[in-house]
Amino acid sequence: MLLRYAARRLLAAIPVLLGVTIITFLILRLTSGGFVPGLELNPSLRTEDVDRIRHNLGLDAPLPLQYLTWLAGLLHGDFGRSLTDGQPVLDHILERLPNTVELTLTAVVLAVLIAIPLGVAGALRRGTIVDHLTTALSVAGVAVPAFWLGLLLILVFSVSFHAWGLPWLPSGGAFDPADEGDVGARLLHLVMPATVLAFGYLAVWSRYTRSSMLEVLAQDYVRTALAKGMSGRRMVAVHALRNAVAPLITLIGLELPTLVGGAAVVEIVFGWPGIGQLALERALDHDYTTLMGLATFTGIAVVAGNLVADVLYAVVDPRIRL
Amino acid sequence: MRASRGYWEESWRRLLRNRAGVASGALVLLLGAAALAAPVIAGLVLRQDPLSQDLHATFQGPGPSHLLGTDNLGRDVLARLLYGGRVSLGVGFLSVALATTVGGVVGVAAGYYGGTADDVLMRLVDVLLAIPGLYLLILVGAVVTVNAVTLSCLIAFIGWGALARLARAEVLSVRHRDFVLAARSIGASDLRVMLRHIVPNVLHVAIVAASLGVGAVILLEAALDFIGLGVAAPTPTWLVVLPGSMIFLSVLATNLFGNAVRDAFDPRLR
Repeated sequence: MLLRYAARRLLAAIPVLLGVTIITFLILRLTSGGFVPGLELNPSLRTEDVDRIRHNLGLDAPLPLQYLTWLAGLLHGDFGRSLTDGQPVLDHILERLPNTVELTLTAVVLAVLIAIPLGVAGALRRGTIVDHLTTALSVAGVAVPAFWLGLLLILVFSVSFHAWGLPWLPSGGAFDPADEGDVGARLLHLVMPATVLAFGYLAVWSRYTRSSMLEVLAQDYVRTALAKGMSGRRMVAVHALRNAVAPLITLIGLELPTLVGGAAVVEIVFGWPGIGQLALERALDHDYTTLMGLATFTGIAVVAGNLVADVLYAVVDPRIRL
Repeated sequence: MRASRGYWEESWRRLLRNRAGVASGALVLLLGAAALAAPVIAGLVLRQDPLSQDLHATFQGPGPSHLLGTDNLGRDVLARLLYGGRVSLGVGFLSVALATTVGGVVGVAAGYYGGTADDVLMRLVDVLLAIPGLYLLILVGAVVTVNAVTLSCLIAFIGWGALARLARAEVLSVRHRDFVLAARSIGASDLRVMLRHIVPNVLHVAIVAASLGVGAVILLEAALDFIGLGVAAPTPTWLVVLPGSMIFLSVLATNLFGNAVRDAFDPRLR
């Protein structure tokens, strides 16, 4: 049953994925044209040579044909080669991907672990100082620009702490350049980027948990459980929490596109060597094959994430599986 | 008692009764006015140009000649804030206006006509919602130079899908009501039914979505701006603090105002 549900969702995801690649392809190719990085500006190349190179790379073919050629390669698992260095695009992406996954996963886990208790506390202690504080935090949290928060954290915890002779956090990168395998240093590098990325989502998700918890607390089965003498704590743990938090799974799935984009900004602020950083580097070089690969990859990640969220939701809430 | 007043008048009154809503609305208006009047304020009152550099007076603290000090090239920070506000708020309002218009038209048409057109348009919306917007904007922004108008168009192009989906759902809920049937049975054209009978019932969704969307776009534009500048070299604290707090304030004000508008205009919250 669950398997059939998942299969149906998977089939529906294929046209969406195709659409994502077509739109990205059109936007990128219509804006950048048949540009080959570094060639136009090279004085030792004649125009005929540039044209020949462009022809060999297939950049002079009609756009629909270029797209189909690229798509045919993709179906064989071939993302093409980078226009900047001729290396396979997939190698570049796979080299950076673990760092982005590490950053986003940490941020999501951090945000969920803090947001749920905050939201539950706000709902259970409605109207008290606890509730007002968490509400204020969430209203402010969504309005803070992530890059600015990142810069402020760097100013305080890296620059000022260093100046004051306190233990300070590294301001950029993902690991100690002298010893890449040092896990402790990796964790230290992760603290600030993950905090910044988690902050905005923490605000939204705690707000959501609060309102959905309030809704659940007003349900008849909650009153029944309390009337039959169940303790408040046990009622929250057994009945309310599960029903209140289930919709959050869908919400997290829906936030994936902004999560990927937000991770890109955080990666750039903290010099985190993930795929967002790679995207900016390659975009500045007009390396459109790498960009297409990255966009496709993030598109797949978003669609797959939504799929996992839907299936997880069906696991948690059996009413969906109809 | 409530029935004696119309929906819009009632909503408007509710908005004016909400103190946080009025305060944040006033702040949005103030920021907007400051941005609109930037050339007048900077040129005639402060006598500062946001672009003129003075390399002998870089990184100055707040003082009488430069109320908020100067930046790394000796440019007046207050004048730059005022002009920066024009871009932030301009892109915020323009792109939301575009996205709301396109999304509203598509959503109403798709919901009203249904059938194949509806299927195709909603699949397109699925696609747009799966594209990481900021990611795509980083790519495009690095490849071509964008100005405020083209950037707004791009943001609107990626962003209209969410509103189209909301508007369509709302149209579906009123399409088979008696008043629509009545209008059609006396021979009103499709266009007239949509404009006179459907749109007024969908408008509240658009107003709420739009007022909450402005803050999100301001943040998006600020992030792009930041990336465009690259990670800044060592910069005195107040230069990092000031523009960031202005963005924070603008987004906070538009979000709070958006919440107040939602509380006032959403019939389900009555």
